[in-house]
Amino acid sequence: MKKIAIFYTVTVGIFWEAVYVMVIIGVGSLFALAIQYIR
Amino acid sequence: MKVKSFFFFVMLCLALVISSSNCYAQTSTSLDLINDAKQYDGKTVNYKGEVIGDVMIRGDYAWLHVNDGTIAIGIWAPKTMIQDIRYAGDYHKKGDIVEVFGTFHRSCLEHGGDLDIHASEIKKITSGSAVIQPISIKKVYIGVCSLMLVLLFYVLKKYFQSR
Amino acid sequence: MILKPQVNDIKNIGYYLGRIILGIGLTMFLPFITGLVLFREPSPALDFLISANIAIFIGLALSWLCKTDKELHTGPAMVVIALSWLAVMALSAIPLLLSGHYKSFLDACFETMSGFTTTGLTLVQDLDHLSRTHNLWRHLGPFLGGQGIAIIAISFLVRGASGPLNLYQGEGRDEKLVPNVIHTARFIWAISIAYLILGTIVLGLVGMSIGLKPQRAFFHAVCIFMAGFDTAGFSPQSPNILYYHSLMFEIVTIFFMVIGSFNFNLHYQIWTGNFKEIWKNIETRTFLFVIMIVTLITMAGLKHWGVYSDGMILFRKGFFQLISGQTTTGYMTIYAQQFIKEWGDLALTGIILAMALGGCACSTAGGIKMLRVGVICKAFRQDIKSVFLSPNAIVVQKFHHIKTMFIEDKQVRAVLIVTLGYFFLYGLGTLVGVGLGYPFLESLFESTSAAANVGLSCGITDASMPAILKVTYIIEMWAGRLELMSVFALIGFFVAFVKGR
Repeated sequence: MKKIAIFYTVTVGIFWEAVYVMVIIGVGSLFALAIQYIR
Repeated sequence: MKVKSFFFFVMLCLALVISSSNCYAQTSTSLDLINDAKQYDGKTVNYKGEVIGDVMIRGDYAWLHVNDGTIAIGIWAPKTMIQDIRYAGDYHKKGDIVEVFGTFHRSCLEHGGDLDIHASEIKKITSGSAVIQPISIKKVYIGVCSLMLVLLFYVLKKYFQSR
Repeated sequence: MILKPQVNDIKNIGYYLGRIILGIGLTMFLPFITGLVLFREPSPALDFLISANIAIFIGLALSWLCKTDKELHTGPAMVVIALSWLAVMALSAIPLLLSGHYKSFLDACFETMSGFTTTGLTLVQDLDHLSRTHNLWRHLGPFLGGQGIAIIAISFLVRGASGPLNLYQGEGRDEKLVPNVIHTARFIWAISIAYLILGTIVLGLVGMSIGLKPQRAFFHAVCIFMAGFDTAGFSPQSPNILYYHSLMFEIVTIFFMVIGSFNFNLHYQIWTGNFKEIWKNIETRTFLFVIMIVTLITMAGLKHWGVYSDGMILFRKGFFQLISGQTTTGYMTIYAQQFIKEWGDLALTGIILAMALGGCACSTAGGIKMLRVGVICKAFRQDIKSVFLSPNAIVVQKFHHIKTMFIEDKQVRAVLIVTLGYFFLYGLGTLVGVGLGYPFLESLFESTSAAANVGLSCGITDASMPAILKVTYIIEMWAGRLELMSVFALIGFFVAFVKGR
C-alpha cells in the first residue's frame, strides 16, 4: 500500500515538473513566434 | 589555311577542357562550408568524406553524416540514393568514402534550420570495411599483472592491519 | 596567527583522499565489464582494467599510510574535496589517453575535468570512431561528477559523525534534503537513477522512431540522458544534438536539461507531495523570469541580424542553444563556428548572460545560480524600498525557498562574495584568451562557458589551443564547480603550511 502511495506521489511529481518545462518551452515558442512577425 | 585549322583545333581542345571542368564544382571541405556558409547557401556543392555513425531512414528519405576528417555534415538523400552504402564508420568499421553533390543549406527551412546538404547525387568512391582492432599483448600482461599486484597488496594490507 | 597544519591534519586529508581515489578506481570496473562482455571491445576494456588497478593501488596505499580515526572538520574537508577533484581528473584521464583519441595527457585531463564538472567542452579527436567503452566513460563522468564526488564518498566509502556532512558542504552543496546527510546522498542517487531509467526508455524509443537501430538507439539514449540530466553536454557523435535532426529529440532533451538543472531539494519536495513548491520557489520563479529576459535579447538579436527569420527555426536554433546555455548543459544543434560567423553580438550577449547566471543551486548546473540571483534581486528591491520610506522604517523582504525566509545582511554578503568570485573567474579566462590573441567576445563566451560549467563553444576550444589556455579553462571548470570556496581552502592550506607556526 505504501509502495503504491510513493509511486503515485512520484508520478504526480514528475507530471508537475513536466508542466513547468512545458511553460518554459511555451515562453520560448511564444517569443519565437511573436518576433518573426516584428519587422 | 593550316594555321587556321591548327588554331581552331587548339580552341576546340581548350573549350572541351574548360567545359568539362565546369561540369562539377571543386570539392569543398567541411570548414569551407561552415565558415563561409552564407556564400554557399542555396548553391550546389561537391563534398567528399567518410560516412559515419548511422544511416537514419525516415520514410522515403534518409539522413547520413559524412565526415571529411574535420567535421561531419548531415546529408539528406532519397532512399534510392543510399542503397550502395554498406559501411558507416565507427570503432569496428571504416565507413564508405562517398562524394556528394547537392544543394547546401546554411539554415534549412525544411529541417528546422539545420545546416545540411540535400543530395542530388551520391557516388561511392571507396568501399568501407570491418576493422579488426588488435589486442596488444603488452596491455594484457600489464592488465593481468597489475590486477595481481593490487589483490596481493589488498591482502597484505588486511593482514598487517589485523595484526 | 596562522597555524601550521600538523601531521595528523595531513594524514586526515590523505586518508579521505585515498578512500575517494579507491572509489574512482572501483567505478572503472563498470566500463571494464561492459566493454568486455556487452560491447565486445577487449582492447578498450583493458585500458580500464589497467587504469582501475593504478587508482585502486594509489587509493589503498594512501588510506593505509594515512590511517586515522580523527573526524574530518570543515577546513580539511574542503581541502580533500579540492584535491580529490584534481586526483579524479588525472586518474580518469588515463584510460582516455590510452584510447589514442587525445593528443596529450593534458587534453585527456581537460576532457575528464570537463566531464566530471559537467561542463562539456571537448578535446576528443575522431569521436565518431571512438570505442563505445571509452565513450561510455566520457558520459559516466558527468553522471558521477554531477551527483558529486562527495556524494559517492558519503554513500559508500566514508563513515563518521561530521566527516560526511563536511565533505558534502565542501563541494558547494548547502542543502540538506533530510537531516541525515547520508540519507540525503542516497535520495540524490534515487532521483538520478529513477530519471536514468525513465530517460533511457524515452530517449531510446525516440531514437528508434527517428531511424536508429535499437541497440544503437539505447546506447545513445543512456549517453544523452547522462550528459543531459547532468547538464554536461557530451554526445556520442561529433555533430552533438544536430546529429539526430529531430524536433522530438530536441524537445525531450530540453525536458531533461531543465529538470536536471533543478535543485535536488526541489525534486525531493515535489516527489514527497509538496507539489506547490514548484511554483512558489524563488529559484523556479527566477529561472522563468531570467529565461524571458534572455530569450527576448537573443531572439531580438537573431531577428535583427537576419540570422533566422522563421518562427520554428528561431525556436529550434535560437531557443535550444539558449536553454542549453541557461541550464548550463551545452548541447548544440549548430556548429561552434556558427555562433561567431552568424549570430551577431546581441544574440551572443544574451547567451553569455544566460550562461553566466546559470541553473539552480544544489543541482548539477553551474553558473552563479538562480538562488543567488533571486536573493540579489530581492535585496536590491529591499534597498530601493528603504530609500523611499522614512529613515526609521525597517524594510523586511521575504523569499520562499522550501520555507519562507527573511533576507538577512549576512546572507546577502555571502551571496555577493560568491557572485563576485564567479565574475572574477569569467574575467580571468577572458583576460588569458585576449592576451593570447583571441577576440574579446569569443574569449568572454568561452571563459564563461568554462567557469559556469556550460560547454557551449564558439570554436576556441580545440586541441590546437595553447596549453596555458587549456590549463586556465581546467582551473575555471574546477573552481566553478566547487563554487570557489574549496579552492580557496586549498590555497589557504598551502599558505598555512608554508607560513604557519
